[in-house]
Amino acid sequence: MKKYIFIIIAIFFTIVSCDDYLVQEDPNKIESEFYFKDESSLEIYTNGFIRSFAPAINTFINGDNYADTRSWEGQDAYLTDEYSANDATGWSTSNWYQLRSVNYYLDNMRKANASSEILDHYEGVGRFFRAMFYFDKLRTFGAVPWYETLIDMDDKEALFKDKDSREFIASKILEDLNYASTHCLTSAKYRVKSSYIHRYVALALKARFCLYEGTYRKYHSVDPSTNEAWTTNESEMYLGECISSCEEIMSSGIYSLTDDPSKRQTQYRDMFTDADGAGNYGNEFIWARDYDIDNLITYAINDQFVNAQHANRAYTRQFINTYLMRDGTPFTSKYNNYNSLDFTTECQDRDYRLTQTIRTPGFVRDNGTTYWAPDVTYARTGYQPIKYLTDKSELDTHVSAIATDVPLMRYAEILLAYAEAKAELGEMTEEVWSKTIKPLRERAGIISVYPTEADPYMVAYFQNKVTDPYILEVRRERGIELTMEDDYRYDDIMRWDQGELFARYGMGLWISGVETPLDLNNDGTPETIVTTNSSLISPLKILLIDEASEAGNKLSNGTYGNILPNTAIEHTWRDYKYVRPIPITAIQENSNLTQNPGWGIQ
Amino acid sequence: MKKIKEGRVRGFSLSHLAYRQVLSIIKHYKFMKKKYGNRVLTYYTLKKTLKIIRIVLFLLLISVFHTIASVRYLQGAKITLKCEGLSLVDALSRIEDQSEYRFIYDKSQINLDQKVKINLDGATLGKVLKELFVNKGINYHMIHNQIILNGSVSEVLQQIKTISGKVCDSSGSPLPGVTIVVNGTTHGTVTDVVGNYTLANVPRDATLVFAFIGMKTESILVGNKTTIDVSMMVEAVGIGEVVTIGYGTMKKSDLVGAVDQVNSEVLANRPTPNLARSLQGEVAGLNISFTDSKPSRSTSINIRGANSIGAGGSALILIDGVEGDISSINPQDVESVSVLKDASSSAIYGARGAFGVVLITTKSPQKGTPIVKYSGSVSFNKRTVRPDMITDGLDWVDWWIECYNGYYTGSRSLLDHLDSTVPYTEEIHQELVRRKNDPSLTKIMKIDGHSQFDWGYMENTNWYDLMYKNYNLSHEHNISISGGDDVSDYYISGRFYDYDGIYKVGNESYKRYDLRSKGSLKVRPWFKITSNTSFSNVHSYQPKHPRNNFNTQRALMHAGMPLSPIKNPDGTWTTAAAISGYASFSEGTSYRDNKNLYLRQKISADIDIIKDVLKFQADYSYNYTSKKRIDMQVPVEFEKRAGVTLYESASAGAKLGKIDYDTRYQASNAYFTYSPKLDEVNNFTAVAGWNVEKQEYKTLSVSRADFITVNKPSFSLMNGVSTDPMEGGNAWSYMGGFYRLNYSYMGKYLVELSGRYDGSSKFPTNSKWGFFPSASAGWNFSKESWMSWSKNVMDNAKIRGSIGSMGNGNVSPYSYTSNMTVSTANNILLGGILPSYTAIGTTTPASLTWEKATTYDIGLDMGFLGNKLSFTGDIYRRATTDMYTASVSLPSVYGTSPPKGNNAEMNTDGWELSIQWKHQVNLGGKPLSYSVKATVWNDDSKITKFANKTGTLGTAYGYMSNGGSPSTYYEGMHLGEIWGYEVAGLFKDQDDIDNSANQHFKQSHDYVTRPGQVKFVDLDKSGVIDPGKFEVEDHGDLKIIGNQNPKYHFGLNLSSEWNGFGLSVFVQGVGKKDWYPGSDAGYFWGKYGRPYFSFIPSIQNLSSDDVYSAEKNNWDTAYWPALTTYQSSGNKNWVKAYEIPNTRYLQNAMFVRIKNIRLDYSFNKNICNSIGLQDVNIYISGDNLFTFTPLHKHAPNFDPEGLSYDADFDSQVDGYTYPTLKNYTVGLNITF
Repeated sequence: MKKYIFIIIAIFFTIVSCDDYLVQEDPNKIESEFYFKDESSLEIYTNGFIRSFAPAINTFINGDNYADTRSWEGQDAYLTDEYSANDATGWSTSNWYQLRSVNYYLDNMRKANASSEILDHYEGVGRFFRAMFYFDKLRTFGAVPWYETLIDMDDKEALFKDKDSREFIASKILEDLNYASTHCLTSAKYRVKSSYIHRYVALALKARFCLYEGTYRKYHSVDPSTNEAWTTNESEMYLGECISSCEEIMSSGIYSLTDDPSKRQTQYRDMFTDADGAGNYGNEFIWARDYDIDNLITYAINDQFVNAQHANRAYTRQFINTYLMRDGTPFTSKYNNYNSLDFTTECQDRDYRLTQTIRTPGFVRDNGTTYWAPDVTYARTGYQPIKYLTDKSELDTHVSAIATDVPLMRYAEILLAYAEAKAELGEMTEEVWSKTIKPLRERAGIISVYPTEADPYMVAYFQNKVTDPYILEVRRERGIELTMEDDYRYDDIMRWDQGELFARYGMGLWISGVETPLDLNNDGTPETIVTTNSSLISPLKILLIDEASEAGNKLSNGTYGNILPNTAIEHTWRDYKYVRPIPITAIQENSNLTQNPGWGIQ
Repeated sequence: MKKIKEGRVRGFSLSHLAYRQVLSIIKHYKFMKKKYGNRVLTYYTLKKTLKIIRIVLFLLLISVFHTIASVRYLQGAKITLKCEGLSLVDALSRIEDQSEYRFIYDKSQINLDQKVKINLDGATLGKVLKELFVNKGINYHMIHNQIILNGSVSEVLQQIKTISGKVCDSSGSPLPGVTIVVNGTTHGTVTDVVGNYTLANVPRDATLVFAFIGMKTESILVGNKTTIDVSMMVEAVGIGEVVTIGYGTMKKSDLVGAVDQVNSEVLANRPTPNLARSLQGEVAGLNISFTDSKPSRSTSINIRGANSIGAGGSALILIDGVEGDISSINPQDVESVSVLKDASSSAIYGARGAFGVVLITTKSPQKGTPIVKYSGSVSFNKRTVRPDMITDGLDWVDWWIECYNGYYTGSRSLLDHLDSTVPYTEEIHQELVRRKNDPSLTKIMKIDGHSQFDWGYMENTNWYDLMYKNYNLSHEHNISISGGDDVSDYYISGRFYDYDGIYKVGNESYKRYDLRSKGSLKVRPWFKITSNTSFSNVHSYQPKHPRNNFNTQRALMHAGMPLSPIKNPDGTWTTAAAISGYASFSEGTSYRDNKNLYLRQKISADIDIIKDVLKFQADYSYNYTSKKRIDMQVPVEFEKRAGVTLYESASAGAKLGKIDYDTRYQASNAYFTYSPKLDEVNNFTAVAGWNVEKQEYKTLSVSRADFITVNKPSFSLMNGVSTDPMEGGNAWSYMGGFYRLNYSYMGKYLVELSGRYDGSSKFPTNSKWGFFPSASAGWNFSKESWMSWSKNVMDNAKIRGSIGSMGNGNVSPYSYTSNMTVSTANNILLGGILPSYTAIGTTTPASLTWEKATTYDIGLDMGFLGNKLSFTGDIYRRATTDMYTASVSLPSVYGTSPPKGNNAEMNTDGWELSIQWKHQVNLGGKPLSYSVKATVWNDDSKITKFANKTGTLGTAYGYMSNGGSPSTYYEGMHLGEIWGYEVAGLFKDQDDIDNSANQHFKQSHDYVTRPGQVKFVDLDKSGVIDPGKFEVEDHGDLKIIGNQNPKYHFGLNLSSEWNGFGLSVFVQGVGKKDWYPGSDAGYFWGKYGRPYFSFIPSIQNLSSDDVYSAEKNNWDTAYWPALTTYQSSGNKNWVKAYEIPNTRYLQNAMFVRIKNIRLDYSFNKNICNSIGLQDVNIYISGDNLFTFTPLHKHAPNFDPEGLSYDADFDSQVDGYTYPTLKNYTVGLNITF
């Protein structure tokens, strides 16, 4: 008997209830259906959007690498005729994941228990990011399929539908931005360190989008997604929406340009090299990305400006020529021979932003102890950018930790958008000018002159397609003020229907003759030499001119003239490139998708 | 037949016999040890040993009582016999018990069953006999102490005699302690020290049985002989071997499943930190590979090839029946390792055993006088390959220039620095030349006007020599005590393993402490309780690069430039020292420290419900594993300019991170074993029971920045920001009921049915449960009468087959619910702080249930020539179905990967052969036994169903990261296949280029093809070399050029013993394996990868004929193309020619490796005794001593087993591993 008692006891120990035993919950995760509870769950979810949507510094400064203002180092595959739908990107699952995450949020966020004001605010934040997502898709592909709820895996109709029209997408973006810019709150707590989304960020994006779409509809005679004329005439509507958005920001009393008349030689660049820009420039930064050494949220950025392998980006002379003299007159009007001026002369008395955007004679770092001449061995036009470069050269390696903050949306952009929309609508006035372009120029040390006639250099720059002096001056100002910020310039060229500029060859410094040592930093000692002698050994920085080599550097007149780097590179513009091809894989997955015109039926 | 039949003869004091037997067995054991070294256990399994020890102890016990009895009942003593209705035979037996007298009678003449009635108290023998026999007409005579009933004395005397003789082994050496018993009785004796014996009172027609452990039992009919000398043969192991199977053991001859067992002798004398290392290559079908020799390196144990491409999963590892980590066990504690390979053998583990089961059985107590054993060893470890490098600064720079100019074709001026690590100017070059001619000059100089540096370096530093020792040491000490009696027993062991690191700086170390105590208590004769506790403490410390988990080998490769010294003239570290990691190693402030604690406790109860028929066993286990990791990183200060301090790495910062991983696992089993005693021909066993398991796994990580004092890694002594503590982990539970039925008829026909009904918490309610049955059968056809002709050559031949299906529930625990995680951002600040964030939850599968593995296995086991030659072969297919992979291809707009489901299918086909020859011959009058065992096996897996609508081969990046294997699956794909371009050779001249397809590669910066570059073949005749759409149907010029999975694994074990000496050799290898050196694999591509890499593969100098040069125009003989660079530097796109696998640089990574050689010697027992020891054995052994591989022709910097990367660190680049080590060991084993 005892035996059986033991056995029963033993069995007792090993028996558990099946049903309960086989249920285990994840101790560290929340089951999705119970996630949305309160305001904080909304904040945490939207933090995820900011994290995935806000561009990082390295993306930000490289957006315009192949725009007209830069000289190319290497071929942009897109600007060759070999580029096809096989090479296209931007349609992967991870791209669309962002939309999935937003739509899931918008489908479910109202489960949270919060006041309607708060719920509306957070819906606005979600819709802001959906607008941001589709704005990007619109710029890239034109027409794309629109989804405003989570797609069910069994919803074949949605999954396999064709694109919605570009005009429809644009109207939906506007709808989302209207919602966000009405319902997002303006409380100061959302503006701390310029990092959250609030009504003014939404208005700023709306202004940017409406300016884009308004000018795009104006300058493009056809919708590049269909190659057919627009079905609606909404250009003026969008420009009007842009103006009203800007006006709301401008009249808010919160934002202003940073301008201390005593610091005009440095204050522009200071904004981009300040370790606490997000905090210190809250008047000008509407939205910013905050970096911080203590929290180890850092990046290496100086190497992008000083390292021979990472820093091969340089401006074209054509662009540098647009910087005004400080007396408010065009540089190209002051000098007839504006392309053949030597570097030192060229840099004199110009817009103070020039010396804060590129290395000019006298450019010093390390608290003024070292002169930094343009390094023509890699920044080969000689116009070497410095906009985000910090003062300390000890932080120049590709693993250095730098934590200057990055403005993602500046008040300056709002002023420029306002001025541009006004100009495009023919509503530019001296009053508008004095609220917008004038303070920007004054901040750069320029005496503002209200234009009376078109600057022929600017007319020519934009292929004689625009003759309105206001529009051209706004474009000049916009190009200079916002250079190297995201892909503004690239987008500008696209919306202005100026794609040919991408194929325009960029030239560099004027070299009066080879084999003459040059003192580009004006420190009294030559540090650079341009030579045709490939076996030259010299402590100077050598730019080799090789007429024989297809890929070699050239001078425009053989042994003297403007530097012509990368002559082997040929970029071609085709009008169908205003929209990128739908990647071939996307069409393989969904044969109902129609390819954009010009990219072939794949 | 004869008159004396079934007679009971006793002429010997049983107590004496028992005593002698115990003594002699102990002696023999030692003798065997001496003779066969530590491999004594080869010849008898644990079970057998235990059985003998049990008998011995039983006899010992009886003898104690009997001795007492003998004193009391001497001849002439009084006998008490009180009985009524007792049979005569019982009455006689009682008298025998009380006296020294023994009865001899003929059963046919006396009715033993007749009842007697007697009532005598303290009577003399005469009175008793008279009372008992006289009235019944039975005559009796007494001769000495023999009482003969109903027979003449002479007849009896003629029948009984004394036999003597000598027992030797086959070589003629005397065998002491051999047991000699008259068959059918307990009458017997044992041989003395010189093998002699004498046994009195042996009937003429008796058969003497000579038995000795490890020897074949001999039976000899006495007949007329008075002297019987016997020569005993060593018994071949195998056929009688008992193997451990799920929930029981079984004789190997009765097996119908594919089971292979490795016993402790294979594991002994191989000092390794991890048991898995000792098992490598030992069992056919058991694939164990280590990426390198890091002592803390773990591996997944794989049985019979690829498992699941969905949920994954590996073999189930059970330690004494309870799931456990193979690295948690002390290899010296292991008695046997049993590998269950097919469905038949592992179905009893149901859902856990889909991909095979490894059963590890620990050593059990040995009853008797406590035995104390010590084993210790010291090993010298040395790397198998030492990267060949250029250490001459000038040569190195010249290479750099050549490669750089090769790539830029002279169109670009040289940089003024090399990867920001050292400056380079023309002046420095001239100085280098000057210093080469005049070595007395300083190797460093001040330079002015350089954009980055204040000093020019002209050293010839060998960074490898600075960083790595030539050899390092490890040592191991193991002590065990074992003993016990009939009621309780115990086994206690302890081990210390200490490994000294490979680095000259940084104090790498690995220490391990193991303790085990195992004991049992017989609470009642039918009830035994066993407790098995083990404890392991593993402490490993490795120095680290100061940049977030950066791979040290890679850092050394990228920054270890020979030009640079370690220090600048002002005493600060140079850039090279800082970035290579050397400075940080020296300072010892960046490291990873792991402390792992494994605690395992198992309590089990064995209850005999009906002795030997029905048994109940239950156990409960609690395993606790605690792993604590500390990651320290502190930036190292260095200088490029005097007085300007830089940090490596400033961006990574100073940081302390601590992570705790906690696993609590509980399991309980309860089962019945029923083995009714049927008859001689029918055998039946049934096992049935149930099992429950539960595991909770928790992780907690915390980190903080900036130290106040780097010597004390404590959060309390830091002043930087803390990241929020993060918790992770999961919990799962399983339960299942299992059964196994075995039936055999005459040992000829064997049938087995087994299965399990399993439930898992990982599946939704409607699919939690699964039933996994298997059936198998065996036919021992050698036992058929029509096979009698083969008796002389063939001992055994069995064909067996099995089929079964098992489940794989290895999906991650919460796959069927959509969950969201809240994390703290590490790349963005909001409102000045690191924000919490989340995103959409995971998608949930439409349905989710067990993956299934259906296995078909046919096997053949044969033994020949007295089992000297044995053979085992298996051929199998495993069909893995319902694999948990993506269900359908959905358009990207869906926004996430399609929900997974039970979709994909795969077939794995394979075979295994194992053949063994075991023999003993005489050499110089001494026996020489030797054995040869060869195994070879192969497997191949093919995808038969997979959702890949477009037939894409994946992404270029994924494909190149996978070593050339597509980064997704497609139907018809063989796992491991490498796709690549075919190379025709090098371009001869411009004509050759003009007449070939367009090669649009960046072999130089301008994409222009030039003579001396690699020429790809335009297989699809499209006029251009391209990958097409990179799809199965359109793959352009790509084709399958090889397979990266190892094929034709083999192992060869040779061992021999002679006169105390033992020699064994273990050879292991892989017959076929292709390998394409991955992108950025600097040890292969050298400067073709990046211009500043330190090494050039297999080329000793710039003028080597193996490199193409325009002057030599050796396009037809050179292996390496025209000098260029950036050809394999981590881009992984279709542009860099060598990143795309191709036939020219595909390497043959097959290898044959002498995995282990061991020579041991056991000292003569007399010598041992004279110094108070029982046994002393010494050995020397070497691991990985010799390797033969075609790989070394072009990739001499790679070990064929170390092609991968160090998974502990970030950079996943081929070859950046911890080195593979060879080692030389001296060891000692002592039994006290």
